Amino acid sequence: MFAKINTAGLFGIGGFAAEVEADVQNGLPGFYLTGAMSTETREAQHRVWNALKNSGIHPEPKKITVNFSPASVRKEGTAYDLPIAAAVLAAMGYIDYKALFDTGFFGEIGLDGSIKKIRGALPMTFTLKSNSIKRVVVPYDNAFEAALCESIEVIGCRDLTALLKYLRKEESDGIVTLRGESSNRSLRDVAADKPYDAGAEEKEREAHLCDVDFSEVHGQKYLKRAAEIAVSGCHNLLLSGPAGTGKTMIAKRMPTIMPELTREEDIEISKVYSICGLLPDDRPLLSKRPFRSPHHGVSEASFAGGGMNAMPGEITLASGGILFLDELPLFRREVLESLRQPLEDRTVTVTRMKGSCTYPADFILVAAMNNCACGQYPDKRKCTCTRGQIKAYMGRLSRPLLERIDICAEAVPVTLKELSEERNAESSADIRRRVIATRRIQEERFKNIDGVSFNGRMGIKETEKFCVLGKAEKEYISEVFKVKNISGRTYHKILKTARTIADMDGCENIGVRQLSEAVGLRSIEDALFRKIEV
Amino acid sequence: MKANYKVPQSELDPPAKAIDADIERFSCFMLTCCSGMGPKSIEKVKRYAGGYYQALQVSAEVLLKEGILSKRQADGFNDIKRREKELYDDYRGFLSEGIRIVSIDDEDYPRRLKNIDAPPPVLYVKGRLPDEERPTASVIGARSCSDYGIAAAEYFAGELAACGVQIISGLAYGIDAAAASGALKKGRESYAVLGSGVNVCYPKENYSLYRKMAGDLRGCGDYRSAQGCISADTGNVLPQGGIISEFHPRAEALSKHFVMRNRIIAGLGDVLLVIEAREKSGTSITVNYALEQGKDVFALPGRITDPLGRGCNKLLKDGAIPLTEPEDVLFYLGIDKVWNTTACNNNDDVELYNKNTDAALYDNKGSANIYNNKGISELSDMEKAILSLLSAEPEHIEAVSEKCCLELSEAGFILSNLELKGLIEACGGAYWKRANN
Repeated sequence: MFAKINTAGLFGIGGFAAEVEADVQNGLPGFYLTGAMSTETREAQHRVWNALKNSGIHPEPKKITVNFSPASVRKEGTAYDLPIAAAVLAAMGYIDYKALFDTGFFGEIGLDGSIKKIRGALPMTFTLKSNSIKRVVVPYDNAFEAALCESIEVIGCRDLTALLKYLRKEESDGIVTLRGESSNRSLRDVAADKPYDAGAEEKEREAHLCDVDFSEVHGQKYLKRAAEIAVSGCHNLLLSGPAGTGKTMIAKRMPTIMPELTREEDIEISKVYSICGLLPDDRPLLSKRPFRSPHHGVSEASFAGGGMNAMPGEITLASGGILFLDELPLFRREVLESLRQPLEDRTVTVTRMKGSCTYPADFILVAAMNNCACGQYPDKRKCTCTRGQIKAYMGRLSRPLLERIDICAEAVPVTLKELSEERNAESSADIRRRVIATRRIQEERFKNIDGVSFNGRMGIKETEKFCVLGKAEKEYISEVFKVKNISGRTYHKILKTARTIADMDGCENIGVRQLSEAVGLRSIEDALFRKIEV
Repeated sequence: MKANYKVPQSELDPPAKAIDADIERFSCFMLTCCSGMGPKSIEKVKRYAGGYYQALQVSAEVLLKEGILSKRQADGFNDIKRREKELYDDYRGFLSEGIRIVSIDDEDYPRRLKNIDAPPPVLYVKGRLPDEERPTASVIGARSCSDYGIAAAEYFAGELAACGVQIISGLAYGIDAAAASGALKKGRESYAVLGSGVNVCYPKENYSLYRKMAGDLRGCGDYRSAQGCISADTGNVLPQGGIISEFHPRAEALSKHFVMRNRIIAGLGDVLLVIEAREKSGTSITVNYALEQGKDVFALPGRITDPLGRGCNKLLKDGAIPLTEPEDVLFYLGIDKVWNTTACNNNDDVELYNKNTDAALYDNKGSANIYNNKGISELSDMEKAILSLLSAEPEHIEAVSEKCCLELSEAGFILSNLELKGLIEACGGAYWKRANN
């Protein structure tokens, strides 16, 4: 007898609809799998067969053929276990497959018949929904993730026995049925059958979002200001300065002053995390803006994406949030160079043997560095590096990368007095309010322009259109040019930063003051590339 | 006399004596090329044989038996005799490159060096040697020094040079380079004694200084900076001082060389100025040489908390003369008028000497005027206040805004204005310091 079950496969951050067909015939008993697949997918025959037996189902020894369609696309992963099991059960007559024409299945099966959590449940559900599937059967632990897809019925089940009983409408133990909804409740609460409490949810959400806060940073007003400007206009940022001055601390808190994620953004980001299996156990959505801080020993594949299956890398995981590169000069050159294209295009295309995937890479780059190997320069009384060593350390920075960074801010060494002082620094929420206001101005400005939504993302055309200088400002900047030896590229950066500062100040036009601040936030370049001379 | 090299006909005239001097000089050059032989052993050999040329006629075995040379030195001695032809080509080559080779018996050998311990038998010079009639001052200090040290070295060297004092330093990073550049900026001579050969500019970052001192920039560009020192007949830039070394012109910079050259730095200077030094450092070697040679040492007082000031303060404790203004040195050297120099056409000597009339000191009356103070009286009150906060040590913008109780952006704006006026300089991302005079 023949049966057909709907499922989905993953490719990049999208998916494709697939069908699992099973046919049971008389003949020499055996389990045959056809349709291109990887080793771990092929192993499903043993998992499924043993799981069926251990679930108290004793299928007759017959010749079973399972085919994947489309057969031309290579299938990977263990999510096909459950649809195979369902197709076999249907083909053997345990369930009626015709009733399942609008139901999708995915999940991994253990030998004992338990149904296990898989990666990528969120994008798979979305794929199924877009293929007019009304109902998905998923592992219990993936149920809430799948339920983020609105107006789809989600059936989460713990094991095959429970599933069989549910599908035969006998009983529904070990099953959770959810309606796709926009709530963001944690699995814990639903399992405990707590009534939905909007206030409590908001509170928990707030706590989840703000586990760190800007008010914990004492001093470093200059860096904080630079961070606020960077977030307000989506500018990339370089923090430099002695060790232990709070560069990392500030970078870590930058996601907390970014506007909260909208549901669409949240789902897009959560899809990536779902594929990588990085979603938190107790909540289906990430909700927080990502903060990724890869170690400087990171390989190019894990940074930009790659590996056998062209998996997303750190820059994709940071999409929508902050990519923090601590100790920038210590990163491998090829790793940093791989950032150049994503910084321009906001996406990264990873091409591997098994195909080419385009992942989002829309992050704010925050880099931090010491000024020398010992970390104390420019305090020459403490710094033990020779001039040559300092030059060599700075020389490791790639100039093309620095040219994609708008703002460079240098940290001031912190004194004990500042650290111990009890001062009411601004909280992240206060700063966030200002950031949102500044971003609203930009939204208005760029509403008719494709592909640009922030000052930091303006091209030369937009810069010239929106950063018009008055007479006094032009005079000022030409004076600065004379003194500072600024390149044309730097000039545009200064304009963009000044535009953001003007937006923060609520000014329609860029003034001399905003220009001077923007110039100040750029002067590290002179320091890095000026010839050391006496 | 060995005849396996040719002496050009023109050099045979005037006869006997000129040949002797040249051969003596070449013989001396040969001896310095002998591995294992330093100034002292060369002197011993010379005294034994009665001259450099005669010394080369003595066989190594005899010198070995006499106990004048060690086994290793004797091997080297034989070796240079074998390579005589090759060395002679080298020697002529250096001369034709424009390197002056001065042996200790020559008339133009610096008198100041004749009386030091182990004077170098040969000096290689690019450019000129310090004028015997005019006073000299050696300036030394730390390589990794503070910005204040750089400002001070430039200031003292510049002021002294403007009054006719010739500045001697070592072309190293930091204080040395600052001293040289201070003198050169005033259009005066600066001399560098290298720890490498004169053809090796070490460190290479100081090449621009090296070039100015060595002169003769055939087609090297940057004529402007040479400040009108272009020779009328050849169009070449005249040296603004000189590059001096006792090592073979192609010698690499080795650490042992630097210790040796320090005795020349000390020897060439009539006084020794120590600008910034850590407690244990190479400067103490130079100071010891100077003291052995009976020179007086000036030291710039440092803060007691500053490791870079500790060396100087220790010197002061041991009896060095405090260096607080250029007049200290000028008075010591007995200079009460501006010296006329012929090398560089500076008409503004007097003006330079009678300084401080234009630049009325605003915030530090009576102390050394090492900063640029032009147009300071036209500043607004807030600008003056911020300016007075800054010194040669870089200050972070946050500290400035804190002390003035200004918003960061406000403070940044004023700092940027001051920078445009040339009164302060940005160093690094957010640090500011006063611009040097």
